[in-house]
Amino acid sequence: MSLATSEYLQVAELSGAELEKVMIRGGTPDPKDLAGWEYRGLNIAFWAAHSPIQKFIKGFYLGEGRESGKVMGYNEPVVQNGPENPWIAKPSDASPKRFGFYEVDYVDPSAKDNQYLHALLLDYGKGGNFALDPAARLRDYLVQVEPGSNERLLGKAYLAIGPARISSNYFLLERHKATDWVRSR
Amino acid sequence: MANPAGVFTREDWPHVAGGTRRARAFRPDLLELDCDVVVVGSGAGGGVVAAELAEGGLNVIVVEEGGYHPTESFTADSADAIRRLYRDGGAVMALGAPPVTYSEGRCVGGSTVINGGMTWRTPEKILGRWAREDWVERIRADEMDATFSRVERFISAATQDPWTVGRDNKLLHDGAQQQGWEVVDNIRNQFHCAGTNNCAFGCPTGAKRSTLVTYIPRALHFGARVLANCRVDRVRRRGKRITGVEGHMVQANATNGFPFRINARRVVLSAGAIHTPGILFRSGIESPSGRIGHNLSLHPNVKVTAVFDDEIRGWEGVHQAYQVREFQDEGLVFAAVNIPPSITAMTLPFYGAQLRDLMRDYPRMVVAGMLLEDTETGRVRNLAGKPTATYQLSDFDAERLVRGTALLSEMLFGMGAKRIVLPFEGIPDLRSADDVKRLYAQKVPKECMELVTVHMMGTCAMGGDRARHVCDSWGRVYDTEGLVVADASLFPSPIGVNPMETIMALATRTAATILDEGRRPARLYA
Repeated sequence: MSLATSEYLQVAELSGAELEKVMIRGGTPDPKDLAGWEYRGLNIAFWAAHSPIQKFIKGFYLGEGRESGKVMGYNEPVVQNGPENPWIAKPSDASPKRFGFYEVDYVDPSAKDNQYLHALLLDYGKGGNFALDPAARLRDYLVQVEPGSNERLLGKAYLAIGPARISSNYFLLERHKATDWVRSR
Repeated sequence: MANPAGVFTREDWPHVAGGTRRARAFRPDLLELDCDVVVVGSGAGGGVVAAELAEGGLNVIVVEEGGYHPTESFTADSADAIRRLYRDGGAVMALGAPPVTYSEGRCVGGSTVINGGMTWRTPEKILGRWAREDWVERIRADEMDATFSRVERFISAATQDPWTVGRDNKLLHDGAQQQGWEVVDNIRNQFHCAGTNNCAFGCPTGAKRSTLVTYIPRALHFGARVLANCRVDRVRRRGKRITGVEGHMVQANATNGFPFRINARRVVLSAGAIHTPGILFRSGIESPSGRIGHNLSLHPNVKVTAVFDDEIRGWEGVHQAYQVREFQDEGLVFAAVNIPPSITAMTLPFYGAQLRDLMRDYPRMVVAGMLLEDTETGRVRNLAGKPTATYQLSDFDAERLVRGTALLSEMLFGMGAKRIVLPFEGIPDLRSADDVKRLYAQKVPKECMELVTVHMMGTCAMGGDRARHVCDSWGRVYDTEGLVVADASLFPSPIGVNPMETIMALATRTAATILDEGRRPARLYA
């Protein structure tokens, strides 16, 4: 069971202003290159350390059926045991719970969700979540921490409330393991 | 005098080729046009981009706030020229202590119509710095060589014919040589210039190859349209995708006339380092770096007025035939810059009889100026919808200006000057070389310096870092789609020489990038 690398933990220690610079300078991942991989995730915010969602796993897959041709993604809850310890999916690594689905695409400059044109947009509103699911309000932007490499990705989460977009927090992803899971719809 | 085909001035409105008057709520007079690319400005940046894109097959509209004034309309009437060709009568100030008076062209051809015509490539060390420190791609001297050559061919860059060099310039040349200083022939965008010394008020022979007589006719030949007397209020956009511009025709009394809207997938801003950020501000465009309007460099100039016993007749012969480059590493370049008596009188620090007596010596005057590669930066902000510059000269730069003034004075006394009027209010004139020694030792307060400039740069700096720069290496504004800057705003730092050729070269490669993008599916630069 792999642990977070020291580089990952160093980025997680950066201040908000420094994270914003990484966000602005970050490279654009190709969505197709993310498909088939799960990433260990860490929410970076003052409230995150003692919350049940400090750690999580994000997965990416090539959609099938109604989602055919699109890169989609999901979240998995994990045991909240601190960033220095392994990411263990809940209820178990063998059959994790998957929720908070999203569509992955480049940012459309003329769309409402266009905060970072060079980022990927993870649009939970197009993820097939229940309309009343709070997760459907999420819009995440994702960039490569080191341009050209998909090993570590920095994200910034927004809440879409009507026409308003409220910045929530940064999160950090690091490549965790390959996956062949695909949602059947 | 009829305009060339494709040029539309306020007298032509609203009958602009391709324009349609579409009924819009509250705007029944709105004139709407469509094209591939709108270019805002027609000077060293806009003129070049327009010609290159039109030749490349794109449908181009150039929007110029000033009027169309052909070569035949240029005379030695400097007051009239300043009214017609300069923005705000040529006297706008960057606020600070001391303030810096700056001038920029507002006419078809922009500042290339009223500049001195110096055509210098960007120094190699500056290009190297931009590549190294600002991560600008493909900008090193060897990578830019073909682009510079292309520009030089179109604007006939060459040294002056020797018989057009006036006595004031020869004196500067000989004085520099006497001091053992490096002095070079100026390369100018001219074709057998007659040396009428009217460069700053429109070349009456057309020998100065401004964009008015080079790139703009080329753009027109390839089908571009030029809308003169039209001011762009803002860039239109849907989200961060640019959809065109809107503005007003400018009436003779400078008030807004017909509104217009131009729909285009790309907008190129070439309105200069003060007004390009002004348009961005008015359009609500923000940069991820937050640096729009920052990083303003000015190349502050000061001049000394030397009076000789003999007649110099500085108005005879070309403006700035030589440049003294001995102190370029210190950021100082000297030149002789004769200016008409009306403007000379205005800038001398005297009144009444004193001024009258000094102006009687006008035929015996040599005006020599210096350009300083500045180390401090100012800022452009929008105040009440109008871009306003602030700039504070640093102590280091002030000391260098005093040193440059002393060096120039030393040289002029060496050539027989009897009196030198300094650009420092309250500091007595110099009457001998001994006085120069006192100037070296003297602390000159910054506030008493009379600074002018025509080189505004850097307010939308290009570079490879979205967190530090406003535009990418090719002038594309970060975090927008379809918006490009092509003027001196792009310079990440001052260049220490006259900027026209650098602007033209950057505009040439920007145009090449736009044409290249058109050949492949649209994709963000990121």
